[in-house]
Amino acid sequence: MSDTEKLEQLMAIHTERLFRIAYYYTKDLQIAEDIVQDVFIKFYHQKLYKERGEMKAYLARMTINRCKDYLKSWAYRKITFQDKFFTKQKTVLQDTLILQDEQDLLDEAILHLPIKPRETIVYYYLEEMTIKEIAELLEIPEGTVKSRLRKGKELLKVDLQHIEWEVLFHG
Amino acid sequence: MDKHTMRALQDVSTHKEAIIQKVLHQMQQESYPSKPKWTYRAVTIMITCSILLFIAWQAAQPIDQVATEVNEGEKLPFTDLFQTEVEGKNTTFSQFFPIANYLSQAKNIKYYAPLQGFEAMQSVATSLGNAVHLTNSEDLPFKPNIQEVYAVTSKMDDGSQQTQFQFSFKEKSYTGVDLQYINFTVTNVDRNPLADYVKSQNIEDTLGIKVSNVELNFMNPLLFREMTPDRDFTYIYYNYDEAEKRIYQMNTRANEFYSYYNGYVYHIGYQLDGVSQEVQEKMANIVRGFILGN
Repeated sequence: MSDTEKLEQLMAIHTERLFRIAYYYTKDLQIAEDIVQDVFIKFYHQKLYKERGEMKAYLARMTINRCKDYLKSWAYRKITFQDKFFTKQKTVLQDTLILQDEQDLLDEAILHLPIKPRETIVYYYLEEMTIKEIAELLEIPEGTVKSRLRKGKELLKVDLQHIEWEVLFHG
Repeated sequence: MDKHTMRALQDVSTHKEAIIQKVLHQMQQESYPSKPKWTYRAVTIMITCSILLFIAWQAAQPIDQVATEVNEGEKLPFTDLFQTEVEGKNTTFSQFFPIANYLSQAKNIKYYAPLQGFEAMQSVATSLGNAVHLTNSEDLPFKPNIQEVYAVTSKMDDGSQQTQFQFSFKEKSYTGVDLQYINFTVTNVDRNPLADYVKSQNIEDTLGIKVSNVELNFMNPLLFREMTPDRDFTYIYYNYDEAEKRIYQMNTRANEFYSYYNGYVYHIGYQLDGVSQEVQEKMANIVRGFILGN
């Protein structure tokens, strides 16, 4: 099997998950698409990976690192600045949205969390990873994962006072 | 409780497809040798020349026979052309243009294994009378390595029989990815769907989708919708899984032309390399030629 065929198989297996991960960090579908594309191309060229059954975590880590690089970049800061600048206009537009259900509010609340609690919340609740798996992926102690989860849940409770999301409140 | 999935991430298949296509395309471009050793070059040239000479020698005799058959313009019945029924699901239609509601009612759908090669396409085109005028692959803006024609038949709610033909020119990677393609989909309909088109103008304004009329001729519109980075109203076309013997649908983003002429809806989707404006102009002419034959 050629390298390209191997890459194609890898992409068939991992693209959706990596795309979701990239979106959790960047909150932008197009940028998430670009990041995952970059990750696969970099992976293909690096040829550093030695198969030890850790491909899933390896690619996820590459994606997370690439996302964090993007969040530090000038391009992202420019977008953030523009968002702040046009906040008023955005608020008016949001007010006109009549049909915004609980799911949208929940998604929005999660994406508004600071990056550290956000990543633990999405991996634990949305990607259904264990505390141990999250600790390994993010290369932090399990205790830190737990405290970030707790902080994330508290922030979400404040944000979502008016709706009930049973897993978060009783989990 | 069910696993929560963010609304924006509930269907990421289009993004997945786009990522895979882009990565493979990039790999393909990079795979051209930058500094190969001279021996490899010499061997490659020799092999290529040998193959070309062999193809030329093989092709020399049958050409006369094929040309005669095509020139005679003999109309073969549908069942003579498409003989192998295969698995499949749903039909393709433009999600954006207003015929969607009508074609989504298709029932008793039958799928046939696509016929390969330009001669087969020409036979199907001939069976459609004056509705289809095929372009030689040399006149296309890219060099296809796959030329095939699909057929899908169905019955509509009103009892009428409908047949969709998809004439496809593709540059397929050896891993099976359509790197560049043009699909001409021809569907017989009993009414002009563009008659309702004015009513959907609001959708364009709301979603910011730009559709322009590049004119089929002085009387009939030929609508063009440029490919956008958004995934709204994806372009859908038939593809064939040889191993599974089934027709499946590719959901992707593409530039689209759309027109109605003499009882047929023409829906053309393409993704090609190159400067989009130049390609679009060339494609508009190819599409006019395909429909009108001039």
